[in-house]
Amino acid sequence: MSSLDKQERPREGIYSSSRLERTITVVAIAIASFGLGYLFFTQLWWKVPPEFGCRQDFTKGGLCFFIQEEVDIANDPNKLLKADIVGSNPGPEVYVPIGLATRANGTFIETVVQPNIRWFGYMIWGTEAWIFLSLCLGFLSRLGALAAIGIGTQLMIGLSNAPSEWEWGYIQIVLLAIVLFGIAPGRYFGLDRLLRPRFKALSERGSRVGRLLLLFT
Amino acid sequence: LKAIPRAGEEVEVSPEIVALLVLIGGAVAAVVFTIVVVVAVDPSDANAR
Repeated sequence: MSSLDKQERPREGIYSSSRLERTITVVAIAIASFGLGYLFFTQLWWKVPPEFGCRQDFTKGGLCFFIQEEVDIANDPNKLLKADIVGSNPGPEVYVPIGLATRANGTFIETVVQPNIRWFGYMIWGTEAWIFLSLCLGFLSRLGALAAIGIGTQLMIGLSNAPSEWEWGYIQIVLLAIVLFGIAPGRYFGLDRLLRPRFKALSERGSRVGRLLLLFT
Repeated sequence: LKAIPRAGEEVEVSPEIVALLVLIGGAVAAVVFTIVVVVAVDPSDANAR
């Protein structure tokens, strides 16, 4: 490989050569990452531990209301990515049936989550808090985005067909989380910029922990 | 008049304050972790072996 080829080979992270292009890229990625992180921040406060907004012995209100709603609609003929093409024809012509996924989700909630909501609530709250910190600080941001994909997908399956919900609200969370997972935003603006070269050094020295942490950045 | 808690009396902290402290603690922990890694690991050692 010639020295010119070496120079032109894109460096990890920021590929653009001009400063303006680089700035636009970094600012856009930072806005997207902060935005999704802030979304999860706003949703922490109506389900604050230890009650998670629930009332009447963890049966109503707050987080308990939404997980019950997921159970209530689990057996409906649920659809995703609906397109109403022919206005005169009732119902969408194009869609992805997700009934199997919503039934599995409903069963999981009824048998695992609801009986253990007193500690499962901490797990849900903690995961969302982690997504906020990770995406806003650019700290192990690929792991944060992966958690956002997981939570977003669960919400999309469980709630996108609920009354007065807009399915694209959840789908967009998942899509943005997928983009951020691919980009790993911390490499552009966050703490991962400092951590990644050091995890790489550890990994190349044969450290398993370094290799694992490198995957998370 | 606001009641002033006496010595030995439990002062209740609202769940929102606890949650905020957890978030601040998490952010501080992330920054401290980064500083420790930056100080402890030399990135130029990457191809040392």
